[in-house]
Amino acid sequence: MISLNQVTKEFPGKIAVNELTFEVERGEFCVIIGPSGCGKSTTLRMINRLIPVSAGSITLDGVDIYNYRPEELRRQIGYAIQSVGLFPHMTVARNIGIVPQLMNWDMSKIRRRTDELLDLLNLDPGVYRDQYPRQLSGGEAQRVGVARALAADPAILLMDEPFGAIDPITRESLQTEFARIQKELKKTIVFVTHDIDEAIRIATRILVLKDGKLVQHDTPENIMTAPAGRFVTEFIGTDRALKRLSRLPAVNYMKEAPNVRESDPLQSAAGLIAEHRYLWVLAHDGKVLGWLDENSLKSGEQTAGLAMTSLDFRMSAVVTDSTLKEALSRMVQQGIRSAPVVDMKGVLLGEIRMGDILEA
Amino acid sequence: MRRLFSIKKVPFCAAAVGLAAIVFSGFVTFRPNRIAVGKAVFLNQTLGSLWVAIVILWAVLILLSALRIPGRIHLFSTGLLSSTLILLLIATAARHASLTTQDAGSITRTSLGPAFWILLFALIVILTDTWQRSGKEKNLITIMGIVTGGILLGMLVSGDLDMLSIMREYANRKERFSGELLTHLALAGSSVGLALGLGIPLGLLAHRKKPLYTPTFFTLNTLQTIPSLALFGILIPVLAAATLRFPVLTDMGIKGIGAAPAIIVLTVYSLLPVARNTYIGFTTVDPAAIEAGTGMGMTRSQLLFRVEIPIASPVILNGIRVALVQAIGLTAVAALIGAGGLGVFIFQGLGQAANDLILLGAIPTIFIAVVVDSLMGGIIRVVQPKGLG
Ligand SMILES: Nc1ncnc2c1ncn2[C@@H]1O[C@H](COP(=O)(O)OP(=O)(O)OP(=O)(O)O)[C@@H](O)[C@H]1O
Ligand SMILES: [Mg+2]
Repeated sequence: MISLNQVTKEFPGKIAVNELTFEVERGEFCVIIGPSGCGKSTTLRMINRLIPVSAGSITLDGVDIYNYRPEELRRQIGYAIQSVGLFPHMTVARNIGIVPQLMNWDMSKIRRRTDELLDLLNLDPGVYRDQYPRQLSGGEAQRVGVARALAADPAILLMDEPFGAIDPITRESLQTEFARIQKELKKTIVFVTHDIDEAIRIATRILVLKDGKLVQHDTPENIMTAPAGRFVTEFIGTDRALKRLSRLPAVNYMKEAPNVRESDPLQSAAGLIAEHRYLWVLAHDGKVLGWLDENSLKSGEQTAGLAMTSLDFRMSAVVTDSTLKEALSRMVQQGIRSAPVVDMKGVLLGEIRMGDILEA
Repeated sequence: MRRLFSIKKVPFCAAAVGLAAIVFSGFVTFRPNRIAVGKAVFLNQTLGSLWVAIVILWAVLILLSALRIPGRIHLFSTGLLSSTLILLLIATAARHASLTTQDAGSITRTSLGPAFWILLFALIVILTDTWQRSGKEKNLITIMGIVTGGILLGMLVSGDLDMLSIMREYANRKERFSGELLTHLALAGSSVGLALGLGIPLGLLAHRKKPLYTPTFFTLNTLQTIPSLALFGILIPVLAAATLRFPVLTDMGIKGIGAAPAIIVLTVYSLLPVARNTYIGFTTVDPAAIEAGTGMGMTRSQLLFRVEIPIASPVILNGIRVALVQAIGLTAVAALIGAGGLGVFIFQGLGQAANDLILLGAIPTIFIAVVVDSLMGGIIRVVQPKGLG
């Protein structure tokens, strides 16, 4: 879809991008990563012609980008940057609706689209629609910036560190959320970051740059298992095994979980405990309440519910869209060797075992 | 126990100065004829008993500025009292004038004296201070000011003030006055208009092409430091020579003296505030907003009209405001080179040592400047985009 061929950008006295050749397929989430000043932003800006190329060519679906008028090209491509650049004299809604407005969409459609995008980025339209940019926090502003880039539903999105100002926790959920949005909307995304964890979490392919040159262009898995040379190895860092876990969805490693209802007599659990060493205890609606092990059998209580050690699923359980890295960190935190997998309501779906994670 | 007194510095000082003026200087000046040496008439010597009201209300004003009174009541009563006092001052002087000047043919003159001006000034200071501190009540105080202005206008139109010397100067030049007033407005207005046409593009250019910034503003700053009289003087021979060389200019009505050099000079002076504020206004636009806008496919002109101009407009309007006020004042000087305007009366008055004729030129000039200034202030508040400031 996007293809760069021997692209070079030379600023007076400085080659920022050097004979760069790569391709981004339709629907790919391509993350460009590299140290500061390696030419990431320059590469991105050449794609939407904010910066003219010095040599080489860039094509979109085989058409040279210089065959379009610049505005025509840019309206097919969403653009979000770290410094956001919201228009301070326009409300959030008008900021998001600016491109649709320039494309003469009708008012009701723009309004629907704006609310839909605010929802998508977890901003309550009722609260944020009529606010002005100066009333927003840095993170909220960045989310509005992303919404604005998505407004006219462009097939391609260029994003230059769009989550830079968001706190780590919101950032992580936004990354996961955004990776999902991308799959759902089938966007082709070129995304710049210098945060390797971010790249691994969201990319379908990672492009590592150094001094304006391509060092490695591959899937996150391959980059982690076979980094091209010392530079990439060092860039990934020493905890790459752990980083890899953040690519693996927990549900893929889920096993069936032995369980009893809280009203079941304790005796009936004895057999299963002997077999599994522990059991999850569920409420009648399937919610996880706690667990039983050999010690609970000695308590002398009548029912499983009375004998169990209770747990708070919000603290100890793993939800369905978690990664193995999150599952592991829950287990370490709670000091448990297996964690229940639950849905949003806390209903048990299965369990994840420490042994399986270590073998993954 | 709560303290009874709480002195508010600005109103208290102003009121105290006013009190001293009442005691030590003449309220009006009496002259046997228009240009004779005057004799001071103190407030308590003025005819008609209105002066008693002034003295009493002034005492209340001082008390008000020293007593501890809840904010709103204080603002409101000070505002009302000061407005009333302004009207009373004028009424007292006018009444004294008509009681001493039996008929319009009489050549005796009653002019406003030092105490009058000091009291008026003190009241204006107090009103301004009240307006500034009034916060949410601003509109109320503004309305009070407008009502006072209305009553004053009524007094002026009804002929109550006709026997004051300044009004008698006016009566002798009614026709001339309205003519010069229009000339004044036309000169100031057209030069600021020209300055907008030149200054806004210049400021924008200096913003877009940074190398142009230094030469542009170096020139404009330098021009601004030349005294206006000197600039008028320089232009007389320059334009005279130009008309000799190019007779077409004469056909266009351009001469070394008159409107042409005046408009040139006034335009030159207006250029700096307009161009500078345009430049500053455009510089306040976040470059990231321009980058994001361009990146999303906005054209140059869409960015200019939908983003840059709205954001820069309050600052640019402020520049226009400064240019207007400055031009209205400077136009008075343009009378020296035969351009006309209210300055005509000022220079005539200076020539004849007739103070009231000077005032006939000066007071309307100041008045127009103040009105235009507050009008522009209002406009700026209204058009200021909500998300800014
Ligand atoms: N307009 C310009 N003029 C001259 N040099 C430039 C210009 N823009 C970028 N450069 C240089 O080109 C190089 C690459 O810049 P670029 O902004 O692409 O880096 P980056 O990888 O995005 O870095 P960062 O992570 O810090 O954003 C840098 O050395 C920078 O100084
Ligand atoms: Mg960058």
